[in-house]
Amino acid sequence: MPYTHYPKNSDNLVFAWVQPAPPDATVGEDGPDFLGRPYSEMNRFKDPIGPGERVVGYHDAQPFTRFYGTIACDQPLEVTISFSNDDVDPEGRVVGDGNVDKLNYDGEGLKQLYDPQKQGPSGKFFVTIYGRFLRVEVKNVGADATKLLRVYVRGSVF
Amino acid sequence: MALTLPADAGEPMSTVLVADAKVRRHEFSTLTRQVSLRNTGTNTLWLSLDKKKWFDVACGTSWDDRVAIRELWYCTQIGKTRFPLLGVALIDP
Repeated sequence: MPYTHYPKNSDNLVFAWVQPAPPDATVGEDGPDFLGRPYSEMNRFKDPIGPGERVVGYHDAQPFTRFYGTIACDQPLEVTISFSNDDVDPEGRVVGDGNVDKLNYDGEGLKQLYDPQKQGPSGKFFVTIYGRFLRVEVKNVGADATKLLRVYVRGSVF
Repeated sequence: MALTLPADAGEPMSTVLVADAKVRRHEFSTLTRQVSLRNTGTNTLWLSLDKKKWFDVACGTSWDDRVAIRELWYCTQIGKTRFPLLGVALIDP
């Protein structure tokens, strides 16, 4: 247990898109299940992202102060991290899993242009929060569908 | 025979739960004398001891209290969060 009053998360993975998708880890019977869930539940990758296509993830931003992560892909990507401060959707309903995509994500925290030829400068990011809810969009701006994709978004609590 | 355990000792009843937007119920195997939990996930946990009044446990923080309960209810506003839960049962002297 950390000797500090700051909150700490043992689990801070907010999003992961990993292609090819690793198989679910085997869990030993003698120790803890460190992931606590199958890896396939953590990995949001379903299908290769085609040219001009995108995948989007939404999450509560409130538990965190900053988001950081890494990008790797065989295609150039446009990764956009934006925030909404809406507490209700346009119909006045409290935000939940069913309507978090209906909010106004007015605060663009970061638009990262990932270039596979420039892994060093474009393959990482670090962004503070500007709102209550988080939206992460990964868009393929290359000419072919992705064959390799690793986008991780983690949250920092202080 | 001398009592070798502290007066407030009890049997542990531990588990790990995952909360999501659906209100779920956890039942302990017997009455608790103390309950503690730690929200190790990435979303705020909402907890109720009577399914009427709710309070939140921010992720990365813990909650505990000396409560005698058989069950509790839990959910999130959005997404999922995982939390180890430890109920301490009274030892029958």
